[in-house]
Amino acid sequence: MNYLASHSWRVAALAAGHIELVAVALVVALAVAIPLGVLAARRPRIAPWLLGTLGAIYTIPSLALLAVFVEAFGLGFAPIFVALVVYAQFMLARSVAAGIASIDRAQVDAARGLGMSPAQVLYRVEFPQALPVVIGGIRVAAIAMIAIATLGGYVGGVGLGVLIFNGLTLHQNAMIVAGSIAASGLAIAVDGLLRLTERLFAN
Amino acid sequence: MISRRRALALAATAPLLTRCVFNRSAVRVGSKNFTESFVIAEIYAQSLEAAGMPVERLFNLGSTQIAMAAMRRGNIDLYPEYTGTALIDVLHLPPIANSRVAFEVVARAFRQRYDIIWLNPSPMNDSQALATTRAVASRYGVATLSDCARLAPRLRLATIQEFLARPDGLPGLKRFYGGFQFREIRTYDIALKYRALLQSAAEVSSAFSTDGAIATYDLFVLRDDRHFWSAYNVAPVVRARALAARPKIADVLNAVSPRITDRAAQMMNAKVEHDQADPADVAAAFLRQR
Amino acid sequence: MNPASITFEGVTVRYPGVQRNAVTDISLEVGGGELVVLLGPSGCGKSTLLRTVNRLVALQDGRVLVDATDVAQLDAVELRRSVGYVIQAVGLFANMSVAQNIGVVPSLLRWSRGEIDARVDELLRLVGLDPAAYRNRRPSALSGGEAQRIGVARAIAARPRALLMDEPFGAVDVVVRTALQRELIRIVGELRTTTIFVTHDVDEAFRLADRIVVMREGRIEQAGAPFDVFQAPATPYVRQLVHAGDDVYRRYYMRTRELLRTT
Repeated sequence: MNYLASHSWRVAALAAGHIELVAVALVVALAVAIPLGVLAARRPRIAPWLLGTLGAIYTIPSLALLAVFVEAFGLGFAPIFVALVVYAQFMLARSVAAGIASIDRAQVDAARGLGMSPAQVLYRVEFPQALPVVIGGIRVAAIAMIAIATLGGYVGGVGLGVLIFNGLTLHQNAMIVAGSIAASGLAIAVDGLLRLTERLFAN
Repeated sequence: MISRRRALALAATAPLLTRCVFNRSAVRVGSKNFTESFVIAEIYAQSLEAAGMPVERLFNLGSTQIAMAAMRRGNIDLYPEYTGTALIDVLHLPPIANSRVAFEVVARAFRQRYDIIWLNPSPMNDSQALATTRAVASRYGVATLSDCARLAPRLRLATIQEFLARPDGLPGLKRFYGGFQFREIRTYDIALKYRALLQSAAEVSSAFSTDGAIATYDLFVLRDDRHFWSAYNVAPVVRARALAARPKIADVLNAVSPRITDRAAQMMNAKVEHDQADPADVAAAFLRQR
Repeated sequence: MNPASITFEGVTVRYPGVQRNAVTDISLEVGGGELVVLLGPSGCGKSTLLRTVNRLVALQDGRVLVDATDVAQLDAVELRRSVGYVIQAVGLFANMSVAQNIGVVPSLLRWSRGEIDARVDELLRLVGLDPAAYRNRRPSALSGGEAQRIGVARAIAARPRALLMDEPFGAVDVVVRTALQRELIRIVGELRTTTIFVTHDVDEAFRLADRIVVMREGRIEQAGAPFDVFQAPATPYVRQLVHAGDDVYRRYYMRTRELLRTT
């Protein structure tokens, strides 16, 4: 608490870096997860394998996966960014698939019968209606990513994790507490914001 | 709907793109995972920033091995390293007590072998040491390492694991001075080690001569009368390519290095460890002094 | 408008993983603004046959021609935009307004905003709904009958020359169904759209059809004008299905058919 007050600029700068990391990773993760989710929705036979694999990846301890990415990409922004994109896939792809599957088949049949191409069926009918579910998935993914992103402090100075890991190394509890509170605060704020967005889109 | 989403995606990835561009030009300063490394790395980083260069901090990297690996893979551009550590842990050479000779040896070897340049060293000599409380020193009459080697069977040692393993730790002391058969040896976490001394659970502790606790608790450092230990002067080690791209780095850091003395280091370390100050603040305060 | 002709030549369909054919060797000609009803129990293949016209179902053997062109030669998506399609569950798009639903095919065909708006109002009036009241409504705010009317409007919005209807009135109650049947006869008569209508309801078949095609187990039992089928059933199944020879039924069918065709 004291640290937050006396070093508010530093915390704010690290928080901004944290948000940037998570936001960019989320966008890229969506770009990957949406095609995967659509694939899972379209091919019910592949779906269990696809989502199962993503789920298995999700259970790999984040530090282990991060170590692999540091080997591949070096330190700093890159490895934690890739780790976040990979971890988010399970939650995002699953919610895209669920959202699309929840749309009644008659609408899809009518859409095809009236002459929409498969892409048009996705863009004009399925995505708009899957949106509330997808945003729910984004909300869950974002919260998890804010937590996992604290590991960015371990591999190269990005985000609020810097406070936590520096605090651990320097044995300064004030830093650790400040970093943890800031990260939690961020998670709560993002959760609230996305719940609002969910409600807006449900109408 | 489509174009709106695309615009949003572009807006969101713009920071990523600018970051990639920005990263290309930032000087990446690393540090190892202990207080002094943080503080000195901050001093370097803030000096470079004051000179107008963009700096990215990749602190808390871990041990010497990790920091060197990061340097050689180009993940960082520079970090603070000690001549003694470079000599013994990186080059696997025997210790050199003379500061100037140690520096010349490591500077030449690093340039040839790793394409890494050593900038000017600081007067600060963070060599290893053995420390006691003043009370213990007077009670047992131990003032030098030779004294300690002889009196060890009556003394208990508090230390960290690394000291027992490294060749210039206890094994080297035993070989060079003889003796040093301590009555009891216990390993502790690096932060709790001094507590053993203060609580009389041990008589002697391994130490680094710039540890903040020495100033804080008024500890007594045993004299290395036979000059076993290597010089451990700190200096910025920089990747040659990074230095070539930004020669000004040398000017900036060479200007600040002479100011880092033993005393200054002890005080800064004490502020961080004992007063719980942020290394960045301590470094800033140091740079503000004249 | 020039009504389309639809020809089935030896059409056979088998769904993957199923032993029996859904439809076997069906040959049939539908043309010139006719309303042809495919009549039969569930599983007889009538819906399958319907969906071969807009290529929602693939053929094992034979071909389907629309205006003497094999549909397999045409681009499927373009074909579907030129053939109206109505299903029992309607499938109105829940994320669009009524106007947007009706305007779907015109917007796919890149009509201008003004053309689409005008057409939407025209169609709402055609199916008996007040444009001002219904244009901006969401599908969730519609009754079954209203939804189905809008489904029909959506299907004919781009002035298709053929119309495919798969048990469109099965999900609404009897009163509404009669009203919808009346509307359909009127619209199809006005627009002279060649229509294939699928149902299992004998009454409905007799009320609507210019020709009835009785199907069973993937084959045609009999095809002909309603009263020809009634007077001269080709098989025992047909006889029992249409209550052939029963005078009460004959008078009933004639009467309801008349009633639907008068204002």
